Amino acid sequence: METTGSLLRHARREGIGMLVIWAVCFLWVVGYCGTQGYHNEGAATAIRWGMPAWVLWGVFLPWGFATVASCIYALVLIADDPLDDPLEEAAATDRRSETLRQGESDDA
Amino acid sequence: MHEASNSALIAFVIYTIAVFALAVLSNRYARGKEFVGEYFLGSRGFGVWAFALTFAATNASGGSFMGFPALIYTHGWSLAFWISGFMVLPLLSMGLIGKRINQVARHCDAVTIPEILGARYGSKQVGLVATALLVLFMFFYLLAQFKAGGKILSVLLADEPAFQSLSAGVSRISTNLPWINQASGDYLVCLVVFSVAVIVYVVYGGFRAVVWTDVMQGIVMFVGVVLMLVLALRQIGGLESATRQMARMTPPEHGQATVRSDPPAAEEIVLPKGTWIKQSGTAFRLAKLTVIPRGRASAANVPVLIITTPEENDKLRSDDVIGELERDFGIALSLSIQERTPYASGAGQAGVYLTNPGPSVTGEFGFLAIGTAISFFIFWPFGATGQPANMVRLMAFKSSRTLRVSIVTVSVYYAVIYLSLVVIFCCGRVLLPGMEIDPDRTMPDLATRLTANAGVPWMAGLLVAAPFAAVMSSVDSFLLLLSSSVVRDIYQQHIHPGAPERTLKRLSYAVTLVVGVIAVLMVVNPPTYLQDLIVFASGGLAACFLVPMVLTLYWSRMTSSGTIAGMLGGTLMHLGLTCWGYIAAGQFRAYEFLGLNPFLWDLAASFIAAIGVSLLGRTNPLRTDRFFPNQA
Repeated sequence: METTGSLLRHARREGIGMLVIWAVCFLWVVGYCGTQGYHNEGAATAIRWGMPAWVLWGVFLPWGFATVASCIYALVLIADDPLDDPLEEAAATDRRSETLRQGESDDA
Repeated sequence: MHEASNSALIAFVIYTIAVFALAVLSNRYARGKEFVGEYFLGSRGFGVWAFALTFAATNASGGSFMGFPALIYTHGWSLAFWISGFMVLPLLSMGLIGKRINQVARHCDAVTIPEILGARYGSKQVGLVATALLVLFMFFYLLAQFKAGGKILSVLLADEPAFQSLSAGVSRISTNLPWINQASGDYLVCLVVFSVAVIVYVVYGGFRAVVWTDVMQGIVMFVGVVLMLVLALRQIGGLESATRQMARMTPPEHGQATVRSDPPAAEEIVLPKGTWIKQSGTAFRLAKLTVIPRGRASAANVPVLIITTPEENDKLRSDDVIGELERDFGIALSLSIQERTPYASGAGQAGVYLTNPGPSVTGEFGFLAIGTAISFFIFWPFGATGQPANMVRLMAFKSSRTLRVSIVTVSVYYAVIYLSLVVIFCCGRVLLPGMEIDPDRTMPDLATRLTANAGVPWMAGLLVAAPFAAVMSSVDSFLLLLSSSVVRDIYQQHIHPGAPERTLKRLSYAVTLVVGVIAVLMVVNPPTYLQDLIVFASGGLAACFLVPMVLTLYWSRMTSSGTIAGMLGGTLMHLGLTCWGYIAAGQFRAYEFLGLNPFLWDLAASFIAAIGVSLLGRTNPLRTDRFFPNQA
């Protein structure tokens, strides 16, 4: 029972962390590309490391950041919760109520 | 092209043999195990490599290796911004619901999405609504993927003589067959070959075969892309050289021309599609097969591509066929333009391939408006999270550690694949002029060019195997998902709950086969709007399942009515915007209200409906206690 509760708690917390990483990347990419990537300066467009500068700072770099952040997050911050928790007690409760299952729904 | 086509044919044959072998192996492996759990979910025992690569390969459909390269070629560096949402796709689509859905699926012994939803609330209605919506959207998706498989193969084999003669034979045979005769011979051959291969290995091998073939396909895609990257950068002289040449490019123009023969042709003159004609310093490329009949002096209304970049015009020459006509028959070919159509956005502007919004043939405001870019950054990761094919994979991994390491693997995999594709096809823009006549050929043609220039033409087979791999890995997943819904969610849940395993086994084989055959028959003559149906189905699936599933897993106040409302809310908004789009623009495409991707509005509707209806109802304490211990 406790493990199920802890998985749920961990999963919720981890989900929030993932959304934070997404939001950081969103602000970085959309903010940078939106402000720096929409000016057509013709052949004079700044080039860094072989690509337009806005692509390097606005896409490649945040992509690198997102990849590293995802790896660290997955390896360090996501908990190793057991998945095969049999939930014996809850399952027993469920079996007892199985007869009620026919036609029973939450909003009945 | 001949060598490439030959390589593609060899690659496809080797590929087919390999997937059959994997199907046989997986069938043997499955013997003695509980059938339904093994056939539809591989007994939930997949480790890191199997899980990571099946997840990665299923998401990278044929579009990643045919459509995406075509877009990069046509619009330039803007596509880096367009695809950037993929940077967080692995983390979100695997991590957001991965552990929880796996745990709940194990607890309910569920192998399908409707089964999880139904078991969570103890409600048959939830399961039935989910099944109906899943089958509806998945069937459209499956149609589109089968068509894509047939088309990709026909593009890759187009110049192979054996394939051409087979296609011609099939065309003759099918002429008098109703329905079938509406498809061209080449497409028909490819569709049948591709479909038979996929259906057979899915029917025989089940989910395990699908996953094992996905692993092989994932490896082929990765190796193919890395090899192309190395070859492209070497041949262009480095990325900076490619970008600087792109900076001087201006978009070509499409036009209609009259091709004249002087003197009139004594014999029929046939100019293949793609023939280059250089005239007065400008290079023109024929956009379709052109024939000047015997005794005639011209062919009118020939679609052509007109190159406008001076540097490209300096480099390009007329094809050999033009010189041979003049040398051997004394015929001079000339071309007069009847009509020119510049790009609606970016015409005549150097540097347009380096910046947003990128050039566009039809879009007045360019390819990638900022609103569209924002929408895609949201759509890619969250849309993937809501795809049932991904959710099913999340039910199949072995342990939390598998999930964690897989997130790392897929994150690195996608970073390499997608950033490399952007670089490769920006180089392709410079190496391979004039592909605007048929952008979908950019991938196979560039593979051919790169390997031929490097003196390793046989390697083209490996490179062009990537699109096969991508489409196959998507088709097999959708086919199995659809059949599992029918067998598990309809037959086993509602028609014959106590069905013996032998019956379920036969039914699973039969349903997979029948669904596959129906899909193939339907795409023999695909609906006009089939490509739009892909967008409709993928957006619809995510809109329908994302919010209800996330709330089902994480919110104890969610009710069965709220889940149904969430699914229907997202679906109805999706249908409503699609109808609005049809009325407003006459196209089967959802209306982009306020310039935002319809997916965002679908999600909002689904969210409001699910939360609102749940708050109005009451939960079942037994169910809540079972799935949310200590919170009931």
